[in-house]
Amino acid sequence: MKTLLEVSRLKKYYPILGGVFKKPVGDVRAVDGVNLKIYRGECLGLVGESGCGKTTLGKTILRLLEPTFGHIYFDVPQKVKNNISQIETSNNSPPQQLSKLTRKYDLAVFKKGQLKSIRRRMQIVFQDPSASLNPRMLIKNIVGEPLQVHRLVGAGDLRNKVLSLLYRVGLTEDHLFRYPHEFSGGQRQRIAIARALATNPDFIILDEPTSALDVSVQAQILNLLQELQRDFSLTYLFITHHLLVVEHISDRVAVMYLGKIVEMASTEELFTHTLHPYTQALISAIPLPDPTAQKKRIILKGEVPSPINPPSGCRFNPRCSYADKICRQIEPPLKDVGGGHYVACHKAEKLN
Amino acid sequence: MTEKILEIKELKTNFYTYEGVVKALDGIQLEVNQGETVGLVGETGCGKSVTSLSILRLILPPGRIEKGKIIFKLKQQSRFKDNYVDLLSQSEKFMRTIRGNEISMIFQEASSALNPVYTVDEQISESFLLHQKSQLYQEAIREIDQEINQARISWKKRTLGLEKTIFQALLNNQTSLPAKILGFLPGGWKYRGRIKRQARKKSIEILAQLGIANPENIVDRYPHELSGGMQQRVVIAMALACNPNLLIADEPTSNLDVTIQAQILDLIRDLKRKFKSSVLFITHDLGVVAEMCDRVAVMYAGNICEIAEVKELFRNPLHPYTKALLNAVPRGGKTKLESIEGNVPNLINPPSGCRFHPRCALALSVCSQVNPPLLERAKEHFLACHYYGEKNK
Repeated sequence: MKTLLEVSRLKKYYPILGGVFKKPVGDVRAVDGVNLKIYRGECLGLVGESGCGKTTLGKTILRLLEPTFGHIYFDVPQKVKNNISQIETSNNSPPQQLSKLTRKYDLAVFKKGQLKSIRRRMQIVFQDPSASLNPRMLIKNIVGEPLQVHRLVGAGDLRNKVLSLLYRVGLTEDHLFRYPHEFSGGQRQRIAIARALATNPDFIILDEPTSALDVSVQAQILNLLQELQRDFSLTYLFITHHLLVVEHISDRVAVMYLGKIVEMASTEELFTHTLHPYTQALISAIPLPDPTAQKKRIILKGEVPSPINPPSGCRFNPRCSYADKICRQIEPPLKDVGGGHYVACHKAEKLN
Repeated sequence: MTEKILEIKELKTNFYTYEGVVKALDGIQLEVNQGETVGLVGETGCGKSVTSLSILRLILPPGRIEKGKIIFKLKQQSRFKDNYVDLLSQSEKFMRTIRGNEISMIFQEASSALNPVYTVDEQISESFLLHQKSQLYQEAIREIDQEINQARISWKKRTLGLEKTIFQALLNNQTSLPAKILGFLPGGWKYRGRIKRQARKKSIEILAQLGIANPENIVDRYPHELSGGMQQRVVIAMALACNPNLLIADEPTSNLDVTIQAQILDLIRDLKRKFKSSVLFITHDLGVVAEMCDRVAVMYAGNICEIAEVKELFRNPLHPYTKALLNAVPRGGKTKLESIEGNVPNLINPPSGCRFHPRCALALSVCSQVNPPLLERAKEHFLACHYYGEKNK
C-alpha cells in the first residue's frame, strides 16, 4: 500500500497571552506530537471526545491552521522522507540542505503558491453545513468557485461541470439558482460535498459531516460518501465522535486523547481486540440500538483534563483504573504491537 | 396494577406563522404509567419537543394548543377527583404550581437552560423557594430551636423567640400580613436570609446525590465555570429538586460526549429508581432509547405512528417508518445502510391522509386519503398504518 499522507511529530500550540505586555505565559497543547500515515484509497477514522484536538489536527494538515512544529508530507516518495529525517538526526550536515528539501516537500512550510496548487488535491467538508456555505452566494457559484479559483474549466464549460457535480451528489438542475437557506440540512451537506469534489481531489478531510443530521439523512450521506470514494478512488480522513459511524465507514481507526493518538488499528482489530483502557471505556459507552444487548459498562470518572496543563506521564492516568507509578512518570510511546496495531500504553501487554 | 400518571388525548398544537399554519401536532395520543420510562423518538421537526412543551403549557405565541386533553395525576392531595386533573382546562396560576413541582423538565442544551448571571445555588434554590416554602419554614424553626438552646445571653434568646413566632405565623398562613411586610421591609431580609440558607443546604444535598464531588464549592459557581457534563447535572438537579411525579427529559445527552453521556444516563436511571418517578425521554438516538426506555413511541411529522414495548419494537417493528429508521442506524459492521427516500414534509401543507405515504414503499391508495388511526394490533403494540390492516384482514 502506498502512503498518500504522512504526518510526523505534528504539534499545534495556541499561546496564552497574559500580563500588560501580552507576553506568552503558557500554551494550549491542542495537538501534541502526532504521527500518522494515511494510505492511498483508504478511509481513516479519527475518533475522540470534544476538545481532544481532532478538528485542529484536520485543519493543521490542510494548513488552515499554522503548525507549531512537525512535518506534513503529501504524496512524497519514501526516499525523500527518509532523507530528510536522516539529515535532521545527524548533527553535522549543513542546515541549508535541510531547508532546501523541506521547502520543496514539506507541506508544513510551503509558500502561498505551492499551497494553492497542493490544495487542489486536498479538500475538506466541514461539520455544520449551514455555517460553511456562504448565505449570500447561489449554489451555482458556491460549487463553481473552486473551479474558477484553480482555473480548471473555461467560462463556457463552467455550468456543465457544476451541473454534473450536482447530479453526482443527488441534486438537480432546479437547485442551481438557489441560496443555501432554501435547502434542508442533508441537501446542504450534499452541496458542501459537491464543492469539495469540484477540483477532483485525491484526499478529503470529513470533519464530522453527519453529526448535525438526523439518522435517516445520515444514512443517505454515508452511503453517498462511500459511493464517491469507490468511483473517484478518494482517500478520506473521517473525523467524528460517533463510534458506530466510524465502525461503519472506516478501514482503520485512530483514537485521540488530549492531543495525542493513543491507539490505532484496523477497524475490526480495534473493535474486537481493544488494548488501550481509554478506547475500551469509549467503546463500552456506546449506546447500542439493541435493547437485549447485555454488556459491562466502564464508566470513566471525572472529565478530560485541561490541555494547558496536561497530567505528567500518560495523559490518561488520572482517569485510568490500571494506572500505577510508571504511568504517572513516563509518557508511553505509540508502539506497534503486531499487525499494524499501534497503542500508547505501558500496560498494553498485560491487558492483552 | 400500574396506574396512569399522564394521558394525552387528541392533542393538537398549531403555530400561526406568516407563511401559514404549521400543524405541529396532529392528534397525539400517549400514556405514561407510574414508574416507567417512555421514549419519544423521531427526526428533527417531528414535534417531539412541542409535545413536551404542550404538556407543561409552555407553548408561546404564535403557537397555540388547539384542542385535546392532558390528564395528569397529582402527587399531593387536592380538590380534584382521584387527583386526576386536565392541565389544559386549568388557569395559568395553577400551572405555576405544577411546573417544576409535579412535572419538571431537563432541557436539551444545559448551557442555554442555565441563567449565566445567577450562581448554581440561586438557580437550584429557586424551585425550593417557590414550591416547598412550608418545609423550609419548618426547618428554619427547627434551626432556631437549636440556637435558642445554645444561646446564653437572655436578649439573644428573646430575639430568636421573636423570629420563631414570625416563622410560625408564616408557616400557618403564607399570604398573611407579616409575610407581605417582610417582603418590603429592609429588616425583613434577615428572615429571608435564613430561608435561603435552608434552601442552599437542600441544594448542596441534591448535588451530592447526583455524584458531584465537592458540592459546597460548586454551588457558589456560575454556569460558565462548569464543564458541559457538570452543567447538565445542575440542570438535572434543578429538575429533581422537588421530587416531581413526571420528569420530561428533552434530549438530555445529545450535546455530550459518549463517556459523559454514559455517566448521565446511568445517573438518570439511578435517580428514577430512587425517586420512583416516571420519565418521558425524548431523543433521536435509538441507541439511548434501547438502553433507557420501557416503552417507545415513534413520531413522524406530528403524528405518533407506533407505540410498543422497547424489546418488541426493536424485534418486531410494524410501521414502515420505524423499520426504515431502524435500518438507517449504523450498528457496527459494514452492512449497507438503508436510507429513507425524500425529505420530511413541510407541516404547513402536510400530505393528506397518512403523513408518511409519499415516502412509503408500501403505500396503498387509501393511505393518501385517510389518516390511519392508532390501533392496538398486537398486545400492547399500537400502530397507525393502513397497510398492516389490509394485509391481516
